[in-house]
Amino acid sequence: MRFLTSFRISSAKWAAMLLLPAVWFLVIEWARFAQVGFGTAVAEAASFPVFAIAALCSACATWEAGRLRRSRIWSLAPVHTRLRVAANALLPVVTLACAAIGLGLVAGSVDLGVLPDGAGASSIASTLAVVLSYIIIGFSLGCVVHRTLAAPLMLLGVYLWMTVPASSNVMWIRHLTGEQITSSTVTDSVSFTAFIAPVLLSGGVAIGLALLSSTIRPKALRGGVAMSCAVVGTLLAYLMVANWGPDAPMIARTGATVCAQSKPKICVPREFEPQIPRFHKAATEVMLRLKTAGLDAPDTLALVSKRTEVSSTTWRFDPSPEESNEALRVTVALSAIPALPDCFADNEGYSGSKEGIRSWLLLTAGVDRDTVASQADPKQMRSAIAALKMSKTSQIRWFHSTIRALKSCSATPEPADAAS
Amino acid sequence: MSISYSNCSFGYRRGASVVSSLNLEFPAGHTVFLGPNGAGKSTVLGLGASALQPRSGSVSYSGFETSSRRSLREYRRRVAWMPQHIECVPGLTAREQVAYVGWLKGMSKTDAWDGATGALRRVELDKHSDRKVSELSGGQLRRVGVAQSLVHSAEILLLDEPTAGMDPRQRRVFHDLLEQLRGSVHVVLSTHDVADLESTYDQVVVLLAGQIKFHGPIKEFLSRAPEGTPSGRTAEAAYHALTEGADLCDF
Repeated sequence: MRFLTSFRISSAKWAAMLLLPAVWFLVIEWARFAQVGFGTAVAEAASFPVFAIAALCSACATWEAGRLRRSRIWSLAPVHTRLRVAANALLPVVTLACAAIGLGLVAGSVDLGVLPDGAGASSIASTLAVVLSYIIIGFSLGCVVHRTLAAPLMLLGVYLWMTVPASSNVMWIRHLTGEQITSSTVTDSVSFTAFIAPVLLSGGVAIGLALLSSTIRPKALRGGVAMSCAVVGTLLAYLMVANWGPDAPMIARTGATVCAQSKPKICVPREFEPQIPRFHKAATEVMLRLKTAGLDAPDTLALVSKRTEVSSTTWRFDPSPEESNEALRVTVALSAIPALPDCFADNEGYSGSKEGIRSWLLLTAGVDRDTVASQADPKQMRSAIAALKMSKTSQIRWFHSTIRALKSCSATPEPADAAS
Repeated sequence: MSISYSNCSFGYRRGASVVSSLNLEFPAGHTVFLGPNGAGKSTVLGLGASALQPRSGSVSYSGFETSSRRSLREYRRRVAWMPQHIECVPGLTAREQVAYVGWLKGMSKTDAWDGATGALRRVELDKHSDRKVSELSGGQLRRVGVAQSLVHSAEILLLDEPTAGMDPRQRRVFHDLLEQLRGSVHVVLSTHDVADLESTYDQVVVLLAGQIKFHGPIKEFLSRAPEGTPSGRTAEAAYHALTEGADLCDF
């Protein structure tokens, strides 16, 4: 059947009227929380409506299977295999799925002001594979169950399967639905395995169902091969995600860091490159004050993954292009505090706190006292003010002894204790 | 070159066999397939079209067997099939439906589209080619079915009651079409209409309860009519003679 004819009579025509506006809306909503100018986020934004795309397209596939069944196409003894006839009937549905994902990419690109990058390809490929799998599953259901029952069943079933597990306490199931619950950042990318797992599950089941309509003989062998595909896919997917927590594993994003300026050198992901002069200006001002207070200023300020090792003369910082100059000064000052262990994880009664040195750093960096006070615990604010009244050497000694205590999860000293 | 059934048995689901150990070869030319309701005519034609697969035995045409995956494609290209119940894809026009079946039978989409126009013209449905199949009458739908079997230029046509529901004029058109096809295409046709048998068909096969009751030239079939049968009722009388004791309510 010619494509336009096929599309004209297909349920995909009606589904498109609902799906395409919904995709645009969902992508724009998701992109509100994404980093502007980050190409990977465009692909992840386009993948977000997968629950809607898979649910509607699989329901359409179910409907098309019912159409073929009702038309008794198989009794016409076609020359083509069942798979080819099905593929022909499903072409409008597959086209709709591709168009929905493509539209998502356009919406994401428009909203985030950047084209999707290569790193997002795995996200898009996974989404496409998951949607195609559900289309095959929907078609298979439509071949055996009447379409007026099967299509709404598929629509609701896929929608619930893709949305409900995201709030489930069973962590592994969250990673198998095809809905990508973890997003990449400018410093860390979602591991490739997170995109593979849902494809293994849905793909295994879909290939199994497709094999059932193949010409493998005898029937028992066909059934065995089909069942094996579904079981192996499901098992592999489960084993892959069995130990995962609420988020999918992340890996440090490599090859995307640019460094510029000096004293200190600023290293940031390439998306932030235009902001380097502004970051450098704020860093220079703050470093001068911290140096005057007695702290050793770093050679480099780097926005890199926490999974990446940095030298002792590099401070990690976490600026955002949207931050005001005042907020940037806060960010730079706080970069003096190194990465610390989560002491509360092992000891819920842990009494140490970094809030004292945090407030001290901000006040030392010249941040307005009222601003600092508004963000700090009054007790810790008093500690910081008390520290500022001490000699320069005592202040630095208190700062470093607090850092040591925080690193070893022991009690943090009061300024007076450190001074003595 | 003809469709050949060798020791062929078939039954629906777990039911009893409709056809058992059938050995039959449809000869070249035009063959009419007669038998009372439930005799198994549609089943035999369905097996011949490879729409049904035999439980045992084989069906072949020109060296291509339906049981072999390799030769099935070629078999289906060469054998056209019009089932008794014409079900069309909802939403398609008559031309699109015929072109779709042409594609199903292995034609390219372009050739199928071009062929559909010609096939519809041959069954005098070209004026309705752009009408939705759902808007066509029962008789027109059967003509769409005939056009479907003509579109892909098969070597043999298996037609299951093609004239049911057609008005007398359309039956005439259909018989003219069969005449045009003579020499180029072999036709096997099941029907309950025994008028004009002598002028239209070369061979007759009579099926009774899944078994071949008669298989031979038309003249031999007509000779089975009891002596003294009025000339206009020879075929009917021959049929009655052959199927004596069976359900004859068809006539």
